[in-house]
Amino acid sequence: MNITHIRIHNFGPFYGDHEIIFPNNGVGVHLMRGNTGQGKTSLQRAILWSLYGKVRDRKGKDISPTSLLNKVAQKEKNYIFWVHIHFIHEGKNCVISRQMKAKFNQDSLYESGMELNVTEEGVPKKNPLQEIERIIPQDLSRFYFFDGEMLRDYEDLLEQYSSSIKILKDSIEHILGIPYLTTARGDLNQVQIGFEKYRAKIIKNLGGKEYEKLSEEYEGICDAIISTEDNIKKLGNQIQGLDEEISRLTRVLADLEPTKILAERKIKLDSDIRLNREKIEQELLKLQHLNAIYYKTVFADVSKNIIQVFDEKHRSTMEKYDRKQRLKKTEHDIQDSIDGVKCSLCSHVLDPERLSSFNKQKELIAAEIETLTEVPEPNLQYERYKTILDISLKSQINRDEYKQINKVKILLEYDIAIYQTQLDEIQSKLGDVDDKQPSRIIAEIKNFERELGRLRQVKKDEEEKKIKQLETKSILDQQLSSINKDELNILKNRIEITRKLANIFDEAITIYRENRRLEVEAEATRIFKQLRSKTDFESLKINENYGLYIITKGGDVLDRAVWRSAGEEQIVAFALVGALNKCAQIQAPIFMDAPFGRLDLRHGSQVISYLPQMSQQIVLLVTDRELRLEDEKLLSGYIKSDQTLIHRGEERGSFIIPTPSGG
Amino acid sequence: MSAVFGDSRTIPASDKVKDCMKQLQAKGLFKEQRDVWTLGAALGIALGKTDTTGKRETFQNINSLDPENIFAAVMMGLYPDISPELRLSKLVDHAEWGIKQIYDREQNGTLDFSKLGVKTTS
Repeated sequence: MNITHIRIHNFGPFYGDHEIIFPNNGVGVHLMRGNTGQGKTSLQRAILWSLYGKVRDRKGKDISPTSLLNKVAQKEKNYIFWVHIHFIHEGKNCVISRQMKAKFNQDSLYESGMELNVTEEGVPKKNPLQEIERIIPQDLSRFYFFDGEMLRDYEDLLEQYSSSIKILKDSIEHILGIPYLTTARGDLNQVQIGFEKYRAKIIKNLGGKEYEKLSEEYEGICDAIISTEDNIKKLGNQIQGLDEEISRLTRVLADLEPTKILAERKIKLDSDIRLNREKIEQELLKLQHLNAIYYKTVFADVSKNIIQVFDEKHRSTMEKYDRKQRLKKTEHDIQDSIDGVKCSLCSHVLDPERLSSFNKQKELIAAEIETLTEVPEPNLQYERYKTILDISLKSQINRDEYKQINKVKILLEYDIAIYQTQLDEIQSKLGDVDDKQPSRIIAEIKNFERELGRLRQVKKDEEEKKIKQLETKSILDQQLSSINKDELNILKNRIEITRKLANIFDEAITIYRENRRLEVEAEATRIFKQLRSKTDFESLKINENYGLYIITKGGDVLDRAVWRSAGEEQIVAFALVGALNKCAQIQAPIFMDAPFGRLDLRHGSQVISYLPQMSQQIVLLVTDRELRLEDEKLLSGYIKSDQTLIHRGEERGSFIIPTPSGG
Repeated sequence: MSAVFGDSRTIPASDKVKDCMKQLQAKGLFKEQRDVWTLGAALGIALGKTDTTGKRETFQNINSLDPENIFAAVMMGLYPDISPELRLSKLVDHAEWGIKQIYDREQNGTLDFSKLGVKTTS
């Protein structure tokens, strides 16, 4: 199949009619240039939609028809869009035309209003869907229409435990033609079962209870085996469906990895800010506690001075009181002396001179006591105030405690400010992106994996059941074979022949599969050697599951983790895709959308040099950065057309024009 | 201690000071308004500053603001020879000045608790 031209109407950014011509009957390299947002991916989607009636976005989700219709056409209520692909297949001119039309802009109306036609030399084909599947099966389209990002699927083959391997294995076997043999093997099985059931029927007709019972048992076990096989097949399909869904979600998750990282960082920062705010709250509580008792410290100096004053006043009042007490005692003693100079019987003064002296002393002391009458009792008021202030001084706090609180608080606030800035940056990076999506997808994947585990167990049980059923059938087979009747003998021989044929097919499939695998391995190695940058790599090795290994010249099998290099991985992926195209049963053009975006300059140049060998028709959808002038020189002689996609605003949409000279 | 402040049972404060105490509490610097009052009064006493402006109205009970009679003892030491009523008025004047100081410093960002009441030598 080589595409000669494509016509597009109202599809995506292409408003009205547009045409792309691939000269030289499509053979050669065709450049479709365009920077981001000009319509390159939409062009590839238009072709895929024309072939299979549906297209998926980069996350693997189906794009609805209402989203495929051009927006201007939608505004004009012109609800019709179509894509026609003109191509040469097996030497004949063919056209695939698909159209969607609706009265209103509703997805369901478009689905029901879809028209598909395939013509060969102008003659319509009766079954267009079957015809397209014959020309380029849908599940093989991944090998012909891909973008740089899709190469990651193939890079996953380097991870021997990746869930995408199973899906890729089926696609790879399909492109190599193995399903043709496995389908034939299945058909043989059905023929054998048919013979066996017919034999059971004949035996039943022979009469006799024994025969009747035997044949019923035999028919029963045959039906049971068919039913078990059916279950196994259904379970296999369910498992594959889940595998594909897990793989798709894993891919979406990988695409969301930056979002996931940002979301995790955001949660961490939120938590850190909350934690720091709690710590600040604790510091504030400490501050409040200090402030409630700080006044005792603030006027401590004043308190100390007052204590001294109170001390002085107390001492002074105590001194006066003590003096008064002493004088009173002296007064009492003098009175005793006065009494001593008088006769105790008649009070006659025995010594008038001494009496006079005592009386004088007594008068002086009485006068002094009189001056101290304002101090009747010892005054303890000052002592009480002093005690209060003494206790208060003991409750002083260290002023440095404030400094410590302040220091901690400033550090915490500084950290919060930094976290907040980082948080704002993350928020601006996330924009409208749902930052909870990664965690939701992870949960979804886990659920699917649980279901997958359950289904695998059920399938395993069914397979064990089938083995037991086959054993039972084998015993019954022996019993049936022992019945000697001509018609039965003929059937017996036929059953035997189909059994042998089935075995031959089994062996043939194994041999064919192995040969094709080795063929792909050899071709992939050849391409890999042509593209590789490291000279110490000897070959590529492909195991039975199409897992990839790199073998060094020293014979070492390299683990991906050891030699991990993004550039080399992409080269390996290219080598595999190239080899599969070479070994494929079908021939089709290769459309590559932004294929070199993830390659460095050196690897990009190596791949570009190899492209003309990859397929008869190569269409490169590239940006200026991806294909430089030096790269074009590498394709010198192979480039058969050079067109540019240009977007002229929302109203006019995208156009396809010949690339102006000079690029 | 009733002799220190006479028969007065409550301590008054001006509206301005009440507002300052309310705001300082709202900022989380103080758990209760009485804590602002005690610190403000201590600051005024420590620096010997008073503010006599503004009409004062009932604020809180004396026992609640000075449960340990510390302010009573200090005021008795500072002002032993004046009437109890005048002594209480002096205490309120100190508190008015101190609270306004704390509030003003907080407002202009110069509030450093560790240096409150420390006399500068300049």
